Amino acid sequence: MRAFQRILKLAAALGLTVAAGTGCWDYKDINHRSLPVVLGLQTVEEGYRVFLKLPEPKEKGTDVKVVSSEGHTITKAIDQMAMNLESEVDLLHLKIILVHVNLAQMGMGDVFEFFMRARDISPKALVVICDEELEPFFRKIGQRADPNVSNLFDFFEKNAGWSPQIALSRVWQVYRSVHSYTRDVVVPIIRSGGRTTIEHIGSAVIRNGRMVGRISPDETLLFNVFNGESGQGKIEVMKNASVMISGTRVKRRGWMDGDTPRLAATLNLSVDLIELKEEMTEDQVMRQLSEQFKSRFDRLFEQVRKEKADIFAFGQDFRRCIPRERLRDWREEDYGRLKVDFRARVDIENDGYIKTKQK
Amino acid sequence: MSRSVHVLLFYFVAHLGLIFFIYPEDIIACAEEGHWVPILVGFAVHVFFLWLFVKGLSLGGNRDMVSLYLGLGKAPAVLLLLPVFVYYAMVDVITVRAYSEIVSIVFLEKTPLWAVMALLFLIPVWLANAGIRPIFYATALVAIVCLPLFLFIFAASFQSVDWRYFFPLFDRHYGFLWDSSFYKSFFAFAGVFLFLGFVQPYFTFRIRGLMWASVLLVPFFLFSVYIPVLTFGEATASNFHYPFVVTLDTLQINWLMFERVTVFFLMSLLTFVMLLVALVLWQSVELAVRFFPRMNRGWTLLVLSAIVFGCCLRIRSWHDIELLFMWNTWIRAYIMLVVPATVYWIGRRAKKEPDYESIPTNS
Amino acid sequence: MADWIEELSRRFKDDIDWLDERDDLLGETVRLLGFGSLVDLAETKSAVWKFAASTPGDGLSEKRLLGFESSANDSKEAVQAVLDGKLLVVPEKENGICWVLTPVARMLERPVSSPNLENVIRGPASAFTENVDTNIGIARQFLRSAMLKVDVVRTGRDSPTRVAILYMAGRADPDFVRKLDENLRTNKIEDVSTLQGLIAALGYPKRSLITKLNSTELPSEAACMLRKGKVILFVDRMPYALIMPTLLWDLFALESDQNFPVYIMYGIRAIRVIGALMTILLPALYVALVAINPEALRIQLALSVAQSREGVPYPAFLETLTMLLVLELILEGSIRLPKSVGPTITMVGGIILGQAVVSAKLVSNLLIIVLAATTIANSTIAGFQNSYAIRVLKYVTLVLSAIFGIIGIFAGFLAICGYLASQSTYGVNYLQFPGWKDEVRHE
Repeated sequence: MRAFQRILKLAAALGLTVAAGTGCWDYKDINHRSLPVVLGLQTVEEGYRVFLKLPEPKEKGTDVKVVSSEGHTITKAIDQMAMNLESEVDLLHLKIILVHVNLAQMGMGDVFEFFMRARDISPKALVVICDEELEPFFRKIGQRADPNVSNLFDFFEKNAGWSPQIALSRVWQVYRSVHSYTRDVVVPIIRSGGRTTIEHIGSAVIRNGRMVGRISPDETLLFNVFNGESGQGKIEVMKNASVMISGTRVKRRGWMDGDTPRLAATLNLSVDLIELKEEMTEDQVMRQLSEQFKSRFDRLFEQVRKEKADIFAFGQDFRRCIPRERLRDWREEDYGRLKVDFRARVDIENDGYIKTKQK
Repeated sequence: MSRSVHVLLFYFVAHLGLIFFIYPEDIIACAEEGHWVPILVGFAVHVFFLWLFVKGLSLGGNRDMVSLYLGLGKAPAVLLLLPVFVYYAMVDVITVRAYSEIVSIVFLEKTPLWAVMALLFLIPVWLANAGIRPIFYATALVAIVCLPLFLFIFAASFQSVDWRYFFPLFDRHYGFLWDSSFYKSFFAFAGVFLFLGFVQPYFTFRIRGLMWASVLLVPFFLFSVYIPVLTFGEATASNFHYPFVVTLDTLQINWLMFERVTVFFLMSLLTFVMLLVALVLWQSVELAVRFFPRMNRGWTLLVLSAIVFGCCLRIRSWHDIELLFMWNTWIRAYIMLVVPATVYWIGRRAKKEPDYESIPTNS
Repeated sequence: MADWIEELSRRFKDDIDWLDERDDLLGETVRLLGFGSLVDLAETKSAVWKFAASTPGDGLSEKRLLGFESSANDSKEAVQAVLDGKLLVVPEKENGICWVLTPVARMLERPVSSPNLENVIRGPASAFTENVDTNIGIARQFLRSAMLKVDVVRTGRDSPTRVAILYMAGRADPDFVRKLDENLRTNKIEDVSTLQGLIAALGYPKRSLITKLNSTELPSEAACMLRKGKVILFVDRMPYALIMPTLLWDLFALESDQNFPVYIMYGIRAIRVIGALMTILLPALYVALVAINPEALRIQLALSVAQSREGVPYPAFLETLTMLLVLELILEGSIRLPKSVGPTITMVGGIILGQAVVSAKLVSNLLIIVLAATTIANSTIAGFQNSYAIRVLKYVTLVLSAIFGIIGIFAGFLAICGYLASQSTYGVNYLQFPGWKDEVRHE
């Protein structure tokens, strides 16, 4: 009996060692993987054209390579690329998904379904729309004097080049908006810039995965602020003064007035005074700023309401009042009737080193 | 007899391991709004029968479950406990197979499934061989390392939560009672609590401590469902197979040196699940040996493990697992309802016997 | 003269250090038998003469002198006594009596000095020596309690060794002591001059990685352990106290920690725990993150790791394994080296090997950092013999992580915890926490 147990143990140990020896299935050293950071997507006649920006670590510094290929589906295109590369393509570190504007206008629902289903692509990747053809865009990016890998990514990084006018929408947020009854997203639009690497020219309104309109950077700030991002750092210029926003807060409340949904939204702005022309008083500055914001908001709201895109997620505030079945048609029905009472309250926190008149 | 901490800790972490994977999907599928109702209803049912069970055990003199049943006679005991044995085997098969599948989907695509299953199964087999005390002590040690990790990631997962998705509060139709997904969700309750019937000669526990541990689980039950719902909204969350795992993938913790924390969260819970599988295996062997004392413990364990592993290998797809889940529902109902009721009844009866002898508890 | 005494002297006659003298003690002729290498005969004689001169009474048998503790009744006892360094006194006239005298021994022992293996920052610096009786004396000095019980057992077959058992009555579990005592007394087979023999004599499984006998050179530690209810063994010729039962907590908590303020003590203990965890997890984490799950790393870190591995010919797992082997060789070698050559070799091994191997692109420099951190973390554990166990265990997680990635690390960790949990000393589990008395009862 003891001998038999011993033989069993020995067999098990041998078996495990053999399995372990043959068993490095997922094993691939990191320097044999390509870790692309940017994925570009465009439609062509037979399917999709995919661009990948690959960093190649060399002994001194990192080189950047741009590869592209076409295929019926995105996976096929990437597969094609991987076949021609000397290392395995690993999409796990993708940070930016660059979608060409045509594809956005045609509808990206399927694409995002693929992104969420495939575990390869991180749902945290940022979605950005590109307003020019991807091939020349990538070429220009690659030609910059300092081909640092994270150039493009830093533009959107909060610790680096981000500013409050740039919307940040991730893959999972876009996917959520595809299925959600009451929420739509806004995605930044860029193109390659003259003197800077890229130029931010505004944002796209995405409804159910399709691009339905454009808004300006200032209006994107409103979107960000309503979404909970801090507007800190943005400079607002008015006729006679400039201020820097140091904090924002939005309070909103929705209720049903008979059959009409109504919403009261108050934007509390704390600003620092930067420039002041002539003999302006603080009160005047506050009033001017408040009016500027209100008109901006009203304009924006009208535009998106016509496009039937609820980018401010106002529908969320009515979840208590409107039953779920009715909420399903929010964008078509009630959203059109929604009346928003927007007010901006400005507080000037400080006026720098120089005194200003109050009244 | 040692303090109840080990038992309560095991109860707590074993439930945690089962909650975060399959439970959210079932609850989201069975109701469109007001998910807290099915959660609390299920929980209340579980707590009531749990209380019956442990009360019965304590009335029966703090002996273990098998002794209580044997008081009825050997044949009725075998008949009544046979479903428990079968259920345990099925729990092993389902757990190992389902969790290996999840691991394979989420991390290790190229590793063959049998290798992942071998890893997730052989370690519990070895632990079961070591006995019940090593399992509990190992739980304590593992919990010291893995629980803080788990709690940290759990707290961080509130990052993208939009509380307005919580409303509406009440579901007009209460259709969940007729939905089979609701009954499938009881998987998270049923597999664990029976171990309390086996720990008695080795460990004790206080009923009050157990109830508090159950109460402590309530927020985790609620949020395992609500965090995906609050982050994505019900419409989107109902599309996902593993809603909580997907929510973890969206977490952005900027100051951590790791990018994706999903794997750490999953593995912490998987370690707890492996401990649960070990204990379930041990209980099955214990059942077999108590009724047929001539069987050798080691060999029984080996044979049982071989059978379970073989079944795991035979299951080819997730669809088959779902099928197993459905078949399991009736036995699960038996486990959750009949066994505690029977134990309570036997306990009450035993107390009235003249030769009632209670093993003193050391609290 | 009894036969057996004659036989005894004949047996050892050929040994050059055998003493067989006739002497005159208080007017009677006695025969002195013993080993000259163990007995200082001149001193003994003068001491005995001094006492003989100062006590009343006439004749040898009436004057039960100091040091004549017992008599040997047969050859076995006599041989044992002589081997223990005693002097046999056989009066010529009386037949069959053989007195056993404890003589003035030759100075063969090391004086009480400072510990070799353990460093003390704040605390007493005397250490145990090889003599069991000296050790018992030191122990009594550090633990002046009437509850301290001492028992001496002679065990073993070829060269019976004296083993002393110390415990505090009322704190130690009586069952435990009883089991221990039984095992030692009934052992007639094993030679307990090494710890492996002692472990076998005590009935522990031979193949366990965890040492069931914790050792310490410091009497303050030993006294603290006694107060906690543990049992201490002193084995003749081993200059340390062997503590049973062992717990995992002993790896992290030393008694000398309590010489620091409370929060600092917690901090020190926390560092030890982190060190142990790092030893087990760090190399495995490196392999898992570099080869199987690089998605868990930040992109900048991933790229810089890839850069550092550029040109390295082997897979990360082999790289790690090779360098770990080299480190083990250095560690083992530095124990063997004499004090004069040691520092040079350390410099060669550490600096030149580490630097050169990175410049030659054989390993990546990140790995060197990881392994250096691991080795240092390994040394934070209390108890040198325990660090061996942790060193072996880290290979378990390493191999599993090379196959399964981060999952393998956790599974390996669970396997290690399970292994530790399955170790027990006479029923006391290795993972018991000291505050939660399980088997140890308080009276």
